[in-house]
Amino acid sequence: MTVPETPKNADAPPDRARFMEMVRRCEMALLRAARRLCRSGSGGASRYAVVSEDCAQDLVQDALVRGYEAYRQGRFREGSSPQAWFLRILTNGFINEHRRRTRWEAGVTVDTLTAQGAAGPPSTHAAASETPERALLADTLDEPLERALVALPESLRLCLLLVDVEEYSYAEAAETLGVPVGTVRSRLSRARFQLQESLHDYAKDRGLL
Amino acid sequence: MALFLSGLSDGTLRGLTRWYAEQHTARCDHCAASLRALLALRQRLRALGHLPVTAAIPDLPDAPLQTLTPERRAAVEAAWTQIENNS
Repeated sequence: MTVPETPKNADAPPDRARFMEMVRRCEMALLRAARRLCRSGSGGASRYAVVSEDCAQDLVQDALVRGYEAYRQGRFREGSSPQAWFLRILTNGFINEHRRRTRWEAGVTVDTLTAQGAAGPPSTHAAASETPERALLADTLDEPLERALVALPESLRLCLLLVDVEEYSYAEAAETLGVPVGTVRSRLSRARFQLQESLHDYAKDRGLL
Repeated sequence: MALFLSGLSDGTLRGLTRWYAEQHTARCDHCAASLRALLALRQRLRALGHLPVTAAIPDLPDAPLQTLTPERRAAVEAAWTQIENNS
């Protein structure tokens, strides 16, 4: 396959030029998926789901670096979908980071955060980008659905995002999440029915039903 | 039945269980309605995956970036160079 060269990567080594072309084609989709993963429903009184743009950019940045390392090691199979490959790296990065953060946050107390007037660790600061306007902008046209997605427990949401939004197979989702296929199947079922219920309640609250 | 309906909605249900679920939904209005709702939901979810990153309200300033910021792009390229030098 001939990869069209862009002026920007014309001087890059052949490996990198090909990789950059793959990145160019997938970057938007990666950012979109990263924003969806980085959205949290814990915005307190805010009626918007909060999207951390920093978190999304971190995820994509990390995926591109780890992706290039893997690419140089021949771990990208020619002929397979670069987007699916990058998405897997991105999702794995998110899951690892989520696990790390969960462990870290479990040990945090109010005292640790305010000891001697010191500022808390970076993860406790609200990013400048976490404004309702930004969150609204990052929303898609299907806002009720996005909000219902955010309200799902994370394990269910990840399954649903991978299979129903990003179109992973059950086996791919199971491999990415490190759970058996049967678990993916049952989580998906619960996620879909919970989502349906939330959407039904939403419509009912607004007199649409 | 929920698990069967979910599998029926995405086409992963096979064999006898698929046959059973199809037979059941043909006779049960409640499950048939559930299946229809699941199919519609999956369609909406799939559509989310194909929506552009840009927002529904394009006139608002500071729209979400469609690429990494220039600073992050530079950091990524520096990391790539380091990877090349290390190998």
